[in-house]
Amino acid sequence: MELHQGGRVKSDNRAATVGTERAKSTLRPYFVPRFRAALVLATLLFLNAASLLACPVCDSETGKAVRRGLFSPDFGTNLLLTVLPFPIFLAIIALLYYGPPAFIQRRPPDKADLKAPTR
Amino acid sequence: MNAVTQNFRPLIAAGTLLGIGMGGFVDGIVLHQILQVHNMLSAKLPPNTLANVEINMVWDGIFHAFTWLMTAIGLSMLWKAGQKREVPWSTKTFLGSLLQGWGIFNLVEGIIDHHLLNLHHVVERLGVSIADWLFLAIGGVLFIVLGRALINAGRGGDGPDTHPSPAFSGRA
Repeated sequence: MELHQGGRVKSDNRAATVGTERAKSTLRPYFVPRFRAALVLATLLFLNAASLLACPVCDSETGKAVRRGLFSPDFGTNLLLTVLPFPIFLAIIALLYYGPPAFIQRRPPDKADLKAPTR
Repeated sequence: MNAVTQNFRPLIAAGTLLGIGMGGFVDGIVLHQILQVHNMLSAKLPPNTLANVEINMVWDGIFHAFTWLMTAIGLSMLWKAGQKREVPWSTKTFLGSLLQGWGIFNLVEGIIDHHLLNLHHVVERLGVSIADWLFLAIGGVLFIVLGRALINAGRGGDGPDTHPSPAFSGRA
């Protein structure tokens, strides 16, 4: 009986090990490429951060004037005006992809529409 | 033989969005950077001081960032279209869609930025000029008409974008 129980424990342990291995083999392909991509991105950001330090106008009078002009009270308006055409482009693409909306589409009248109204 | 419904829409939409993105890059690279005839906000902030040049450069950059986004979405749509069996892989339709997209970019951007909002003009020192109207007529309307003609040639006539074709093999 004990042997049998011991055997079951063994087989349970083996099942748990196989489950863990399976979970690892399922998760590894998901996380490893993402971890590598995050590492590459972090490295690129780090290298670019170094170039920010080399900015020739950041502490100059021109740099200050640029920042004043850029982050003026008009910043929101300028941003809105600059990106305004893009939602229109995407709306046109949606129209091309899905076709015109149902309320504009011309369709042949259904049989139900052709039925004479009954009182 | 299975009856498959040909669907040109994914290819036309992807090509058009890529055309919008690449048209934006042509505008930005040729007119803003190489020829320097205008910048994004050059009618509001004339680039006559170094600070104004740099502020315009930032807004040019933001415009280019969104143009890049359009191109990236277009590329993703093209990739997905390529995986669909019912989408015909027609070169004429794709080139027509690119041209149509470029025309749409010029028309929409021209009307909004050059005429309605007066953010900039094609040749800034002239203000609203014949160049703006030619930009709309040739770069906008003509490109769209030529693009539509190529799209129609690619799908064998001026029909709807989706139609059943029993003999269709998936790739033209």
